[in-house]
Amino acid sequence: MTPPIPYLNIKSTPKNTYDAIVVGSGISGGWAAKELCEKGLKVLLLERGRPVEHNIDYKTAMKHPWEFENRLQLTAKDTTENPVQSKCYAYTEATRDFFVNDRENPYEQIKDFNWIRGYQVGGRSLTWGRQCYRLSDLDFEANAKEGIATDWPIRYKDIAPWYSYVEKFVGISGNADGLAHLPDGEFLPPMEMNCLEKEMQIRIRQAYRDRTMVIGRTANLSQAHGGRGPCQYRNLCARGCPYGGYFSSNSATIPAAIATGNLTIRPFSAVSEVLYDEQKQRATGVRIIDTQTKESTEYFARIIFLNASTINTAMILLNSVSNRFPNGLGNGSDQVGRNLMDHHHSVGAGGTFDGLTDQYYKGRRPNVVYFPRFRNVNTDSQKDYVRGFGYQGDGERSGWQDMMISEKGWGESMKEKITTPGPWTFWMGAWGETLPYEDNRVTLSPDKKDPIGLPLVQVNFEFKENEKQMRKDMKQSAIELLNTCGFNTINGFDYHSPGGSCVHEMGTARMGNDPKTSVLNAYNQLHEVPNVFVTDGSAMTSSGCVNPSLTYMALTARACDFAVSEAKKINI
Amino acid sequence: MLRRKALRQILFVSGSLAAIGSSATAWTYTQLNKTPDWPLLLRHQDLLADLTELILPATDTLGAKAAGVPAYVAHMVQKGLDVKSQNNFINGLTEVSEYCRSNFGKPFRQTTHDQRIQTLTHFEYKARSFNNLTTKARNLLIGKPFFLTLRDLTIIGYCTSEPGATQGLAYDYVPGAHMACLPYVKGQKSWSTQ
Repeated sequence: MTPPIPYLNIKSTPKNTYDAIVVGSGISGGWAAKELCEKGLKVLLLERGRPVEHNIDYKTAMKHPWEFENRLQLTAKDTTENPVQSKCYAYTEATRDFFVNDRENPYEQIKDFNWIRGYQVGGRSLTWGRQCYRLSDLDFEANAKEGIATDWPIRYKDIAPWYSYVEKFVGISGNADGLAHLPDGEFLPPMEMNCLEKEMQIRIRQAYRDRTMVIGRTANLSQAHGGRGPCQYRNLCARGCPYGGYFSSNSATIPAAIATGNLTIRPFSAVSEVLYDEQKQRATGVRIIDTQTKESTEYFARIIFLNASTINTAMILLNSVSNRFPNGLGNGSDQVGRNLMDHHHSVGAGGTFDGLTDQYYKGRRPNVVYFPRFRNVNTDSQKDYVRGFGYQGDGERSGWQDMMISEKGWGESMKEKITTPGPWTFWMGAWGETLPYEDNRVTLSPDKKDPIGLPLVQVNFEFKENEKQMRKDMKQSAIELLNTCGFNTINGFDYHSPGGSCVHEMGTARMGNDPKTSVLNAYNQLHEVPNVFVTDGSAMTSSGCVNPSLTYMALTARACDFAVSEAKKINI
Repeated sequence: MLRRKALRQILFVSGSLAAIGSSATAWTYTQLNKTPDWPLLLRHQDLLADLTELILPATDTLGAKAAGVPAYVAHMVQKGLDVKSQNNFINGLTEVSEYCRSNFGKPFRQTTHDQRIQTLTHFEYKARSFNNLTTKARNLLIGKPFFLTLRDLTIIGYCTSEPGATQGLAYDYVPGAHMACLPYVKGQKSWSTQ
């Protein structure tokens, strides 16, 4: 263990003082807690929701379908009482305790926006989709090259070692595919494609020079790793995994932080603001509202990490008003809350494949196949839009859930049909980059409060022309790919899901080189308040098109390393 | 954009309603939104059980009744449906009774197998004759038809029951490994969970 940092806790050691405070225990907050604790700091981890202890609190994890009252079907109560959360694919009778109650957690949608939240220890790391991909310089350089928004203050080489660092701990199953714009990582053995997917991979290789299909890279453990796993191929991840088969704060980072003896977790603690000392020009701590007693308490620390998730981190900064920062902490640029992004998705195609009827599979792979971005890469240049998208997909033989729709009728013959594997089908959906727009933003209601007394969050978000143009291609190219692979009865789809539906919110406190146009510097430090770090999705300067959590984790570990070295140098 | 889509849908649906004509009167809508007659659902429980068995009969594997499907269907009609679909369902059970009395002169319970097939075929035809409405628009306006609720809930109830999932289908509780390509053996049931 590294020696303790000098000059911490110098003024006093009242019981509310720690070396560092981490706000939020989701995927990035868990990492901040682990890293800071392992570097010898006494850390207070604040979580606004209830405690969820690994394994003990996964109440539904081992249940059979018939042990659920509604057999995993949504009820009218789900959709009327939780109209937003119940739209998330991961919200089921088995997982709904890991989602907030919409009635108790209101917000204002200036335009339709699905704000999916999980207020509990572990946050949404319990229910996340687990796909892990690195950004590349195609992403880090894009804003600068195209003159969009502001430049990232880092490049791939700055973050690459930190991707490796977090991947080694997380445990990511994947294949080294050797693609420059989708860099390989530190992988556990890849999962296997099924017969249809393997056939498609061959046909795509024959038909295209610029497109490929690879096995998904997922934070599911294809072999035991760090005392966790391996994955049992149940595909019930979002209930919480008693085998520790996938990465979450609860299964991995929080236990590691606890093991240091340096962690204190305080659940039911919603942070209302960061406290700022104008003489010292430093943040001194945070004020919380205890969500059970509604009492307000202050906690103090020399280093503060905000990991409350993109929209709530913006809320906290905007609500931290002082003489020095009348528009919110570190918001001299007026960029806090702006540039809200979410990937646009729920567009693609599906088709049926004749043949391979003598092939099947066993086990439920909690992973997809992935079609890395091929638009506006290398020689491809689209005239209607910038950036690009990737597809996630999976092949399977139709089960009763599909056959009950495709087969009409009833009686003996229908029973036979729906209980026998149907034709092979393939579904592919695109995940597309969304550009940062200043007017896609989070603001605070000037007069309305939520039930615990925090200002009501307002979200004003829409997808714009670049995304709309890209969507046409996302659908058309999926249809074309399935055609090329020899599928029949191909159907394109575009469900036009509103913002937030992808649960990839980001961008509300972006990184940049210039304090006039960005909130955070290259180390996720507030330009204007050097002892406050933001390392959740808020920090993203652009969205890329890959699933973003891995990048949040790498940025967090990197920022923790920087913060502690700065503290040792007494710079913060 | 979403708003425009919604408006377009309303336009589309209004046209279709006119096509349905006299069957959809103002009275119908009042009836559709009334508090469902739950005691009537209870009184029809034997009929409901027979209907589920007709949809998924006992073969070399158990049928709907033995898999406890009727209780699940009744439960989900109360928990999972909007009020219009609930009324459609309870009314549907009454209509099945009436259909049997007027066509065969006896209650459903005493009908022959062929008469039962004729009855359910009639209600299936009725349910599927709204082809000029999108499913979503139809469910929103006049609720899900009786037969489709019966069929869907029977299948779901069966495939997620212990006998249905483990005998009617193949249940793999904790696979432990993923075998991506395995030869399919003729007669093999499909997996009950995805």
